[in-house]
Amino acid sequence: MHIRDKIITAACRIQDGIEWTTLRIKDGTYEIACQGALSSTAHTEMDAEDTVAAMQLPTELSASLKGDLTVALRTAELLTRTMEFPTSDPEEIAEMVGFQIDKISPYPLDQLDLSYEILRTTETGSLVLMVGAKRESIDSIGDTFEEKGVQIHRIDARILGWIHLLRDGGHISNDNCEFLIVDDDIDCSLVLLHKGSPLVLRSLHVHLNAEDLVDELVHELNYTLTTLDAEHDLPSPTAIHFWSNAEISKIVSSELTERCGIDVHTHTLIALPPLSEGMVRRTLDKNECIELIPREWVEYEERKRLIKKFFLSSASIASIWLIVLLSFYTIYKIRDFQYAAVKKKAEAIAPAAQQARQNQEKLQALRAYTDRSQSSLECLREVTQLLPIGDIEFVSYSYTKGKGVSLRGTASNDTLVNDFFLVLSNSKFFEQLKDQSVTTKTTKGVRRAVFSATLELPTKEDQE
Amino acid sequence: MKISKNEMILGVVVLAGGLGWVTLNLVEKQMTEWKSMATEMEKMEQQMRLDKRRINMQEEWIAELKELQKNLRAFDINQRTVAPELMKTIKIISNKHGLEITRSQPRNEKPTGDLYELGINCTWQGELKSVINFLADLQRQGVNYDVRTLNIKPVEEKTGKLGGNMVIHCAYTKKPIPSETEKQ
Repeated sequence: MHIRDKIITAACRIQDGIEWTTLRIKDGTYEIACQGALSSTAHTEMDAEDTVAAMQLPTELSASLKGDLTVALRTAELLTRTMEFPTSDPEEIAEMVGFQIDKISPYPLDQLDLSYEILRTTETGSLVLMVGAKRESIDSIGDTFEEKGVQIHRIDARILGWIHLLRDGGHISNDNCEFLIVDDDIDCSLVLLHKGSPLVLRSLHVHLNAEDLVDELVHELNYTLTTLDAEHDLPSPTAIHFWSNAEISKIVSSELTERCGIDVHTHTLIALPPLSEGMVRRTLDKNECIELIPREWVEYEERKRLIKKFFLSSASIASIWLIVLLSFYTIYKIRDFQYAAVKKKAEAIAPAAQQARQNQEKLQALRAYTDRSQSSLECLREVTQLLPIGDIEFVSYSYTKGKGVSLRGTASNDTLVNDFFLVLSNSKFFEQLKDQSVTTKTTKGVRRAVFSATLELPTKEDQE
Repeated sequence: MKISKNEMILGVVVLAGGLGWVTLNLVEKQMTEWKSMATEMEKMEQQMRLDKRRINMQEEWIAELKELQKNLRAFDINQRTVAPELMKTIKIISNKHGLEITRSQPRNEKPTGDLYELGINCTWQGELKSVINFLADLQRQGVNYDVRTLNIKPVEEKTGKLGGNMVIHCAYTKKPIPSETEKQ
């Protein structure tokens, strides 16, 4: 997994406090954002054997440690074993790690947190570094940092950070088999490197000023080689590289060379960057690093992240909802104001409009009185004028102003009626002649044509 | 609080759904009101445009209206009913032309401001000539009378006597007219 656009920090215990390196990763490239150190708040004398958990962390620590935090355990707190597995499948390796650690662990597996790191893949499988740490010590480290409001995201091994720095500095041979002793005043580790990979990681309980230092080291080196003979077919180590803060006396190194038959080279750790830098650089390639963070922590973190995401999503939805609702109500209120404004305007002109409407109605009413063009008299005149000469008479004449005239009558024959209808239909006074009917009936021996018709007056359009 | 990803998605969906439902309920009610408000507003604006046009055109009408109202018969605003007086006048005109009004039935008075209209349904009998003269006389009265309906039927065969009814609309105004004592 490639880490992008992120801040990661590694914090390591030093003699009198804690030091850290922060990396800023952006677009695949990284830079050291800051490096620093803080002294422990309690001025109690700390033993080098004490774990990070035993430290009194500085109160301002949470402000300094930014991003995902990596802390490291001492070799003394770890159970380690390097083996070649006939597979490089991470899932298969993960299954085998528990079994292998169980073989060397004095504690039951359920009290350990396990992890592994594929050191290199070989033709037949992979060389795997397996690591176990007591859950109790991991929890206490977690609690110590938690108290200061700092959340740990990764737990690594200090010695692996040093190896990373040494490899980066070109101090490790990729061909030979050699011993590496690192004493940083907090942790003293013995590592057997073969082709640059640590085959053995052991904690050394020695003091550089001790009189039996050489005896102890010779014993440890021989023991290491003896245990390895059974497992690996290794060439003889070509050198012992001794890295420490304090200088090793030449007498010690000469005696060690003489008794082991291996050249001893002493170096100072002060020449290297701080350990936290090595740790943080290791973190960049997370897939290949050991990870001792308990699953519960990860799950807890994920749960926290999920809850945060849930609340964020809920808050976003609620905000959007609120915005939508507020927008709606704003629009509604604007419309309400517009409505009120229009209503006010309408009310303002209402009396004048009412007066105007009344005047219009009055005028229309009076115009109907003065308009004689379709009056009853005019209609009667038109109908009677168009009546043909002959025996034709009305039985009923019905006039309605604005509509027209309905006629019923009789005639001596239907020809007379038809002639009457013809002239009526040609009259410009009426718009339409309709419902005309002519029937010939014989009443009391007299045969007459009975007719009816409706004359429609033209519709008058209102002038206003 | 333990929450799985699926539970979170479900929670968010439920929340979104719940808020959606609440919104729908809140908005639906307001939307109906809003729509009716919009329709009413449109109607009011349309009415206002019409009213403004009416107000602007009023100047032109007022002169014509005054001219027409000048010849109208004016009654006292306190007079309870004007129908008897109007029926009496119609009767006088009809008598003058030999038209017999057998029955007069006033309808409801229709007021438009100070202008009033009253329809009187008159049942009549007479000859065609009498009818025509009566109608012509009414027409000469100007804006006072208007025959809106006229029904004619022969009453007796071969005599030429006609009968029927007509609805005569009378226009008049009502104003406060000072009494004799007030005049003095």
